[in-house]
Amino acid sequence: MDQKNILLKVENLKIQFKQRHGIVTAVEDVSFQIQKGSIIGMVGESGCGKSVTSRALLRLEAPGYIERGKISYYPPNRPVVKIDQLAPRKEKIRTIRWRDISMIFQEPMTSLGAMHSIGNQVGEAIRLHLRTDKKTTKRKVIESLRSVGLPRPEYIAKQYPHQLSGGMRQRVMIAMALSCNPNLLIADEPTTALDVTTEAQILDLLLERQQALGMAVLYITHNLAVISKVAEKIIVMYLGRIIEEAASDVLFYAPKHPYTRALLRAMPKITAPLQKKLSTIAGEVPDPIHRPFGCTFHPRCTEKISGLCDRTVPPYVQADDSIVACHLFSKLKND
Amino acid sequence: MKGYAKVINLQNINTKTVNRPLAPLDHYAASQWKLMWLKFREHKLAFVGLTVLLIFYIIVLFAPVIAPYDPWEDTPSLYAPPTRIHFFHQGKLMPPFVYQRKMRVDYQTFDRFFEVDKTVVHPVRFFTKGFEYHWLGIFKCNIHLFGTTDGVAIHLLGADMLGRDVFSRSIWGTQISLTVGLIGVFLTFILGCIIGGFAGYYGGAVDSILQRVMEFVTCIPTIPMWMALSATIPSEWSNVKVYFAITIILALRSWTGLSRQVRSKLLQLREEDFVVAAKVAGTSDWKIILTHLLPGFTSYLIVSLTLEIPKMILGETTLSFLSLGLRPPTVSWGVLLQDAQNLAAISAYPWLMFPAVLVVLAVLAFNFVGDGLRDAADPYK
Amino acid sequence: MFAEEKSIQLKIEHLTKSYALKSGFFDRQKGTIKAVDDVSFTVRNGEIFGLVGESGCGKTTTGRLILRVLEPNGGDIMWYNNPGEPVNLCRLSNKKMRPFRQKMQMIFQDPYSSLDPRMTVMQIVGEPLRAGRKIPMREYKARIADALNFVRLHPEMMNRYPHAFSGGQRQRIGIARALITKPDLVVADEPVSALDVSVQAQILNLLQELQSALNLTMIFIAHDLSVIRHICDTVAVMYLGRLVEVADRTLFFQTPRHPYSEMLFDAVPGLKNRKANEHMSKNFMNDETLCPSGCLFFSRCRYKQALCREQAPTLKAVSPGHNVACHFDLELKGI
Repeated sequence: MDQKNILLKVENLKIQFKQRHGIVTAVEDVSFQIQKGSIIGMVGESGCGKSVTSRALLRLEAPGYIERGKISYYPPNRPVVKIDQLAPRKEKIRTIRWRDISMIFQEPMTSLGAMHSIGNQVGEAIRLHLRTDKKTTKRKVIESLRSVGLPRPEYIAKQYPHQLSGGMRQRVMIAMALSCNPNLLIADEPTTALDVTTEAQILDLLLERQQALGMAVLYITHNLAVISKVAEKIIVMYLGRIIEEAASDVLFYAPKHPYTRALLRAMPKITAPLQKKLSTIAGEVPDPIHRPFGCTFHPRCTEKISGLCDRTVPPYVQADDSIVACHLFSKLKND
Repeated sequence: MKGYAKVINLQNINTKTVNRPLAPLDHYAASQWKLMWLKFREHKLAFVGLTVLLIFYIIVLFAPVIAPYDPWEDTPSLYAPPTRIHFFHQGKLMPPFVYQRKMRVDYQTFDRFFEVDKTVVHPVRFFTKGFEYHWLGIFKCNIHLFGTTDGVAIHLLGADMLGRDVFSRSIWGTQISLTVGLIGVFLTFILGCIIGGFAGYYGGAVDSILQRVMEFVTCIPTIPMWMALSATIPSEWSNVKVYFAITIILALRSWTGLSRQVRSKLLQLREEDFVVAAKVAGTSDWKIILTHLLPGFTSYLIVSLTLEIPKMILGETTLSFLSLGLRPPTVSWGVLLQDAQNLAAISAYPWLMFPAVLVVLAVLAFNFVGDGLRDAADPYK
Repeated sequence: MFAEEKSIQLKIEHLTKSYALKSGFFDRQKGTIKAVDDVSFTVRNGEIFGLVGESGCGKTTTGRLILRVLEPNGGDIMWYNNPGEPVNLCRLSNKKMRPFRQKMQMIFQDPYSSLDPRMTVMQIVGEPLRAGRKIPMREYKARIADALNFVRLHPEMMNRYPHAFSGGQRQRIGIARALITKPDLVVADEPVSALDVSVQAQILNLLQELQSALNLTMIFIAHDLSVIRHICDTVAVMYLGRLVEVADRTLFFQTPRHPYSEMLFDAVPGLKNRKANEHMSKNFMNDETLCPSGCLFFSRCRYKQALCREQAPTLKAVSPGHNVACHFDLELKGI
């Protein structure tokens, strides 16, 4: 993959939170890159740092802070932007938000203001970033509402958020996020609060828009199945670290990391033959305050090498077509 | 995926990075109140406020001991300025002492002068004998925290127009002013809980009617309502009766806020899954109220009550200041401040304003404590 | 409907719950919303009966009606005692209901709001015991310890408060509370949907284990078809307050007959290649208004005919153990 196609590069990102009982590391040593027009899935359970990571890309990581690492954004035909060095509240990052990188959230109600009509809110976003006049703004609003499959967009524009269903609100959010043709869309669990059938529709819609507009999508979810057929590349996170990264098919059919393997086994599947019992992962995700030494997964791992996994953090290594952070693979390499 | 190996520079990764687990939270078996206390302690201002309040209520309890003089006793030293406490007599360091002052009146201008007799030292003694009082209304006693043994007056904060010691009067006033709030809040609590409880528990029509009543009461402007109500207090009533009438008047205005909170909290708690679980378990209604609902909102009740007390204190002060509340010879901060009603009095005798300082201190302290409690009220967040 | 009358545990007949729809200044009644509309089904002894549907379809309401947490507007809930005549739970006063409360319990979705934060684990788990009758302290403690052992929690944790536990552990506490009275029936309302994927499998296994150990009858409410398939013996699909399909697991997952069931299958994440499935995003809501006289699914149905607008289909058996409420289920699928 050539350097020219890279849209966003994250290197050794470390994000911390100051808390009453000390400093909590939410994200550590996270590196990945997003190619232009690609769909990347980021998967992990609660507390794995996927949301914080994605927010940091827009410098919305507060109350956390970036302790170390680089986030570089390569806009087409413009010089590179070092996002990690921008002030989170200043003008510079604000021009990048929405116009270059936009984001949709799990609960659209919280990101839509209750006091303004849909049309006003979408229009506001468009006017602020594209500096269009009133008439063009209105036309663009209707256009963007129609593009996300909302019926009777003129009517919807006059509605208020509480008058719409959850699925429709999420569509409005997508319309807003895409109204300025961003290069990257960050979708932070956009379908988790929705029904299964609505989830499918929203997923289809995102795909369709992605193909039409050619933007890159970083799709964050806790449910591996959701993005299995959508993403090109999947990043699996566990307790603040990336533990595996591979093309979607590779991850599903030849998962490397013991966590990924166990996670896939633990999910009840609708097509696989019925099992009497699901295989499980022992224990639970520890609180980020009590992160284990060494490999963060070792207390739950069935294949841990004592003396190694509980002492040192496994390095990222290439194993077949995946990149894995596991001593099982780094050891093989060394031998 | 091969190009990716470049991004991840293996040498750069410090494989020895260890995450030292922080000290485990020791709260596992901590009850709600313990958690609240732990959280409250973190709030510095609230802690200061709590200390101030403690001192205030110690003063309430020991007022006659702390006050050196009888607050109603007239002395010839009219409008005497505060007595200075000295430590140096003719260049020598000594234990604290005062000089005697003599009032001289210029009979042409009727100006008063206080001449200080710097020859004789009158040491300040602690736990001296003074005027007799009944501590807590029972124990006959004449011990005072400080004073002189030879009858020379120490007016820490000067004297008023009848020569009465302002410090002693302020201390005595504390008793009334700080308890009006407590008793008023107690009445508010009863009214608010019953009315809000009815509205929240029964819902429907009862709720609607009670809600409208609450709205109506909140609509009435505070001061005119107080004025109207206190105008109905007969002038021949004794001090004690007036005192209770005032607390009732204050409570009649302030129950609405509390009952609203009780109502909304009840409505919210009623929908919680654990209440449904209790119903499924077969727990009876009154037991659900006692074991789940009440403990659920007592912490909130305490917060709003704490924030209600300073309003009561201010209310009493306002009413008494406007001569609508307590009347002399009762001493409360509001009554004392009546003396400082005109500019001339304030500029000539600024020490008369001292009770206002106490009012500000007490109100601030209560508000700080209330703020701290509010933050601590829901320790599970 | 089902083979032997003997093994019936619970028979729901024409269960209905409606809410008044009020609006305007004087709370005038504008109409009624039927949350549960004429629902009838039979639950056999010792089976896990799955209730699937989207949010707002009335599945949770049905569960709560059966436990008499909500009062139904009509219908009967027949409870089959081991010896003796069936009892109609709807006809019992609150006081007479009390002995039955010990026999039916509930497991909640949200492990956070379902445990009173001000109570210790002992008080929470022991609540159903205390509600029944006076019980000596020693027996009380012993039974709580038993219940905690049952759900693999250490009895020493009895004196702790819920905030000391993680989501999965809290759900175990909730299960211990539901099982402490040795009930015959447990209504599990989405017991795993709020949990992390790696914990879900543990809880599902635990539920399955306990169900067979105690010969529990369970009504399992969920929106996730793969979970339903894994755990349930019978599946009932609900749509807008009505049952549209009731079938044995194998029959249902081989050939879902109702168009809505089919839609649910289409929406299962990761099952189909999303790109080939664009019809869903396009025709998702041509007409949001319902068809008052006809089939409730009319507006979203792919196969709708003229008859569907006029006449509401009733639940009828299409093969032994398979009931569908659709006029054309056979013709359209070419069976």
